Amino acid sequence: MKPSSVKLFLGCVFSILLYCSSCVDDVDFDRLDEVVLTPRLDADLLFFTVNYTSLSNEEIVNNQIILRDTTQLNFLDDEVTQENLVEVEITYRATNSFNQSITNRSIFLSEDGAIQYEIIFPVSGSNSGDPVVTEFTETVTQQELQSIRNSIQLANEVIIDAGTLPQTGELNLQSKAIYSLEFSDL
Amino acid sequence: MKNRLVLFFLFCTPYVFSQNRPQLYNVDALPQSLLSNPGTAVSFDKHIGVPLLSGLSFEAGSSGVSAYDIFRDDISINEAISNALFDLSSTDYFNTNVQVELLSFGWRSSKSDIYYSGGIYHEIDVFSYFPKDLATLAYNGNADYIDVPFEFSELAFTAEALSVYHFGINKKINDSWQLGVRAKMYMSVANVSSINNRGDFTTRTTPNGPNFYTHTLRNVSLVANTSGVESFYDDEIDTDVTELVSNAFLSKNYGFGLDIGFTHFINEQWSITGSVIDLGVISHKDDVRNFTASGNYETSGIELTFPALIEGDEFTDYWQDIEDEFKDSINTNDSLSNNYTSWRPVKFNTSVQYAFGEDRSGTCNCRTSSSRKYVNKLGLHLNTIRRPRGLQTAITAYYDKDWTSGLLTRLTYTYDKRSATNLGFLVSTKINKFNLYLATDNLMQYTNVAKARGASLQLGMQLVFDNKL
Repeated sequence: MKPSSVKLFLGCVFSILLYCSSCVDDVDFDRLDEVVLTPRLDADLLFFTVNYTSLSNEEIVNNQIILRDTTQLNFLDDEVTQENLVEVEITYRATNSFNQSITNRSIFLSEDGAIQYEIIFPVSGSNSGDPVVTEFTETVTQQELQSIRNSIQLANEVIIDAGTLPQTGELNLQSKAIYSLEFSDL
Repeated sequence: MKNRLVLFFLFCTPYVFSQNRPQLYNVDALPQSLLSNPGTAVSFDKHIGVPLLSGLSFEAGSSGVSAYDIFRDDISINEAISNALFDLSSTDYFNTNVQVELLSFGWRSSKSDIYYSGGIYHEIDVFSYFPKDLATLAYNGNADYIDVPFEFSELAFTAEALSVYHFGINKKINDSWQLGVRAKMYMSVANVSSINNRGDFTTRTTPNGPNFYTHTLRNVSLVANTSGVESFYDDEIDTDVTELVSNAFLSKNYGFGLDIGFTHFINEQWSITGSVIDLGVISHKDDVRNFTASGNYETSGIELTFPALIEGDEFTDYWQDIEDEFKDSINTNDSLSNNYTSWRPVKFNTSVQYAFGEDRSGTCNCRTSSSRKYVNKLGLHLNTIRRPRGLQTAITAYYDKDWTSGLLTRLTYTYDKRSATNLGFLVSTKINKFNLYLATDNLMQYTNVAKARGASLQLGMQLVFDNKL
């Protein structure tokens, strides 16, 4: 091997080694700690239909018919809900053809049945018998979320203002929730 | 013939996507060329590698994003991730490949003019497509993607660590043809793969439905196979390092493969080559674990029935009903131990080369048809690798310069999905019998490697003997 070739070879090797140890600029790998995931999950919650025939056996107390049903919501006790939930936006859509005024009451309950959080909204009655749509949205912010986190059940009450049992009409209620989550310290 | 070759390469250009060590392909002075084409017309008579150091190769990259894109310091990292998520597609991929030669040797039979070569190398190969839909679901959630399906088919990845025992023969058939074949035995240390997944998750608006939406898991079929890694994720099984090392040399999960290749000299200056590498399969029978999920499911939330109206019972366990319905609809199993086979990522290489600049120093390239030796070579190399969802191809143009004193350099330009500005370089020298080579690529990103979408480095040292020079 000629001396000139040795120089050339060493020059090439040096260049490549220089390349291998070349610059990594304008980046900050420590910023990995700043990564925050903020997914928003949109999911159905409750739905039901109540019509006048299903009220035929109900009692009227103080000019009101009150229907109530309760479900477990086990995901409220989940680690993600407990640690990463930052906001919940619950939307209701009630389609009512009863001519009576109706109040819908959603009650978040703890394991022992204690009330933690309530959402109450009026549902417009129908004067003509045609369905009337009422939409209502409740946003549970960071300050109030602990009440939701303390809950494990959701009870829903339908309160119908009626002196007598309705002879016509139907109430259809739909609901959904957008859960805003935040994951940091990944 | 030459026109047809040019047309072939032009035709293939629009489909180029990837690369695989183009700096070492068809370098007849390097034994490592036999690993990418067993039919390379090698110019030496014997070689023996320095154990562990004869062939080191590292390659990593991404087709759609660089480290700079994510960690740049002029915008917040969350904004950078958001931008990357938007820019990346489900055809983008991430890959890492590491190869370390433990042993490498070869010799030419004086009687039959066959070059025998063999050795052992370890390889780690990790490849994953970017599952854009699932990443979007995890990063953004579904709230802004109503009526948009999140496809599970985008989830496709493989990761394997294995040892390869290989032995090949390379024979000059006549002045025009050089053929080679290499048998391989694979010893799998660890394997994880999940491909051919199907199904989607969609939140659909249902104007005439019972609730705002219907959430559906449709035609779901997810499968993940693992072997040799159960102890890493099962706390009840201790990781036996001795067994891992043992598996690296003699594993119960083994397979066989074949490399074949040729070099055809059209005339003294023009030649073409072709090879198929890692046409092989591994059977996984030991320490196997499979994960599966399949079925269809849909829900619109919890329907209250106010049972007190009917039965006088106020409490119905709707939540348990939903959980039961989900379990009945989506069958999941994480305790299967079904044997499976995995195909190695087969590679296809082809090249055309033109040699010029006759060496007047009196030496000859005695292993080729030509009695003359040319110090310059121009070539085009097309490399394709089969990945789970199709072929990935790279095209490389190269210029070799033989400095006639044991020094060889190669300059390469590679075009693939990762980069259109990938310049690479090889330098190989021989001081007496001692050969040292070093190659790398993406030289254009020298000023800031963080901006490169891929980088590779190959280096090695060995003794190379040539009886006729």
